[in-house]
Amino acid sequence: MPIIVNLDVMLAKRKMKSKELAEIIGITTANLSILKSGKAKAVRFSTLEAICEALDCQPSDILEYSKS
Amino acid sequence: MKRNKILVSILHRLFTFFFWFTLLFTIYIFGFEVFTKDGHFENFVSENHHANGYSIPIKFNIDVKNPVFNNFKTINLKKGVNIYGQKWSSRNSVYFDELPNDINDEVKNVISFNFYGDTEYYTTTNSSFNTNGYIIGKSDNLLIKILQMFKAYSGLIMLVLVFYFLKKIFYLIKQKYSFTSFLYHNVKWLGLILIIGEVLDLIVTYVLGSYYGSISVETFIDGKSFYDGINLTMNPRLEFDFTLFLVGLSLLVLTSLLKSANILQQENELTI
Repeated sequence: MPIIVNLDVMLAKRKMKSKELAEIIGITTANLSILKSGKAKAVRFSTLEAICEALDCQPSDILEYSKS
Repeated sequence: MKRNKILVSILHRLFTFFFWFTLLFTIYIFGFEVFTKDGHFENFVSENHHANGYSIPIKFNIDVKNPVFNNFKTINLKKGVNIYGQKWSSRNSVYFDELPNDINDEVKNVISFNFYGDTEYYTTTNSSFNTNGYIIGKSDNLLIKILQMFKAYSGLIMLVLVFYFLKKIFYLIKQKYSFTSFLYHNVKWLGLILIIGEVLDLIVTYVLGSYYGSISVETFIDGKSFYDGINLTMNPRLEFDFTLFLVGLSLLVLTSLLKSANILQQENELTI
């Protein structure tokens, strides 16, 4: 898929663990793992908003488009 | 939701019972066919055995020659008790109208509806009757024999398979109330079995029927053929249940819907 999820990079920058982020935004670690691995088919605006708020970043910091 | 789960559970148990029952019955029938001679096993005789042959679908045509239409009534009901204390009753049966004057000329066949009482509810002027049925016949031809055996057992085998897939479908729904790939695969097989079963039935009855023209019954009186009585002819009939065929086709359409529902569900589950 040409959409790359850079959640790992942002988590490392903020020195936050996946489990902590999952608890803050209210999703399961399994679903967060699906999102991180790029297996997710879609992301809800509400989830994106919660991630951006928790990591204090913009959607463009998490999602990236790459022609492949 | 809870009510649906109870219904699914009941249906699963019901189809499991029907599946095992029909499977055991099929094994029992096959056992008698293979291991016994003409269905006899010591003092026991299987009534379902095809010792006299296998059924061939036919259409009966009954044509009544020289008909006279006159209904019959049963009147003057008398009741009483005899000297032994047993109840008895007697009836007097007569025609509604007087029989025509030419009733004594040649041969006449009276067609009647029978009524209890003085009131006539139906009358008819139809002297030809048609109905569907079966005749038991044997064949020395191996191909026909195989087709007849197939025809005799195909319905039972189809029923076992239908119950098997229904049992499986309701088990899957009971386990997970969602659109799984197993669910649409099983629904597809159920539809295919119904369609294939009906098409095979049609082909087999066509082949069986094409090997004979008609079956006739002829009456002889004093060694001479008697034409003025009741003329009975039996013609080959094709057997095809259009309703089951349509159900099978509808299940195939339902399969494609279930398949697309399965994709939608997967996408929904992968939406974070």
